[in-house]
Amino acid sequence: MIITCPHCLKEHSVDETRIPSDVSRVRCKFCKQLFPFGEEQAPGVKSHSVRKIAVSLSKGGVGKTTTAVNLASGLALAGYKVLLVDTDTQGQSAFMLGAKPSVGLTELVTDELAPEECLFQAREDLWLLAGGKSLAGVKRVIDRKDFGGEMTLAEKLSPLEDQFDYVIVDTSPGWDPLIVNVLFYVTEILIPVSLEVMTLQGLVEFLKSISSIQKYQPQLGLKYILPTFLDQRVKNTTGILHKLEELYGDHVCTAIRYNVRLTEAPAYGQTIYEFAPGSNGANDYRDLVRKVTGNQKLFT
Amino acid sequence: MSRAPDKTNIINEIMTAGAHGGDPIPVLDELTQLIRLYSPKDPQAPSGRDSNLSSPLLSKLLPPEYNRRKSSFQLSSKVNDGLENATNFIRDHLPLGSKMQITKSRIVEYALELLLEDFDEYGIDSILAQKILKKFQR
Repeated sequence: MIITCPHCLKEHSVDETRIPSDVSRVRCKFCKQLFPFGEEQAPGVKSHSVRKIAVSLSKGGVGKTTTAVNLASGLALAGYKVLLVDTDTQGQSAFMLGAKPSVGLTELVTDELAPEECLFQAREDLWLLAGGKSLAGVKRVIDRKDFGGEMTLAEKLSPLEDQFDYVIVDTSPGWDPLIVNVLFYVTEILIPVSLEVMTLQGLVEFLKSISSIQKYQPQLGLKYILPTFLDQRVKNTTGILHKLEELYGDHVCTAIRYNVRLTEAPAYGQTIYEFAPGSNGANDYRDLVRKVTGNQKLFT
Repeated sequence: MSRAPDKTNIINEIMTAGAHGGDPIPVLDELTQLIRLYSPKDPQAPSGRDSNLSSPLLSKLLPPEYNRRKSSFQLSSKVNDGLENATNFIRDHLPLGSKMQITKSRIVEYALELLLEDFDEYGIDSILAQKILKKFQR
């Protein structure tokens, strides 16, 4: 469960099974203030509900995997329990985290292993369901179903999700049955948009695709537009960014600036917070974590 | 939870039809216009200054404000600090998308423009000439 301190608004992820039943007040580890808990819960105490966010766009090379990995690890650093699901056949989420899991999403969907055995703990509070070439097997499982194939992923992930505060799903470029499955599972979409015309073209097509899913899955919502590869030296980028802010208002997150550190970090198997914690890339992704959690005090 | 799947192959429908159900998609038209605006084929598209300057011939044909040359000058740390402060101050007063348009080079360009216009108009009585004369004429 997540407990938010009503004094400093710091959110704490707590294992409820370890809280004694007679506890009525708790102390915030951050600001050291006491506040009510249990029967007389303060308004800040929320019951557990997992947030499921897909990082998706049919256009490739816009920073989907970089965003998914750094968003997931940023949330984990902030103390949330996070599951990162890689649905890309390239399987680069594991590479970016410096992990070599031998099992992953395929084994979960094909029932080869128990759900817990498919998870790989990549960092403290961060678990990975790895993707890779074997996901072709998942696509076959979906294809074989005469009906209900769109719920394949949701059926397999649902029993796992209660352990987590966030499930972040990284998708592959393109438009295939596996991506349809992801959009039938999540309730929020984060679209990374590199500030160029080709990506806008991809965005238009993707919005049409989302709309076709929303016909069946009305709670699916486009929640965040994340401008990526912002380079102020390139004239068009600021114009496009301006227009996106005008069209999407609060849904537009602080742009991720073009940052060479972001491209270097994966080679070392490190997240941007580990590789270059003071870089623009790390700061921009911290901003994204604040935006997603709605807690502006994180990392301060 | 999403709607219970009926006995139709929804994936097939989504993948083959590709239709979006006929509901209007917010801001789709605006995005399409934006794509047109920034498409290179469109005559309305803002032209990239850098690509123009890549040709020496074109750079000669362009108006003088597009024709820039890199120059190096020694500035005192006081002027350097002032320049830094002015850049940050002006950026703070600009809207989000325009902040990075203001660079130190641009401020130096504007400042020199002002001083040289004044110099052209007033000659020896200009601010620039008076400052230099005051400093070096004893």
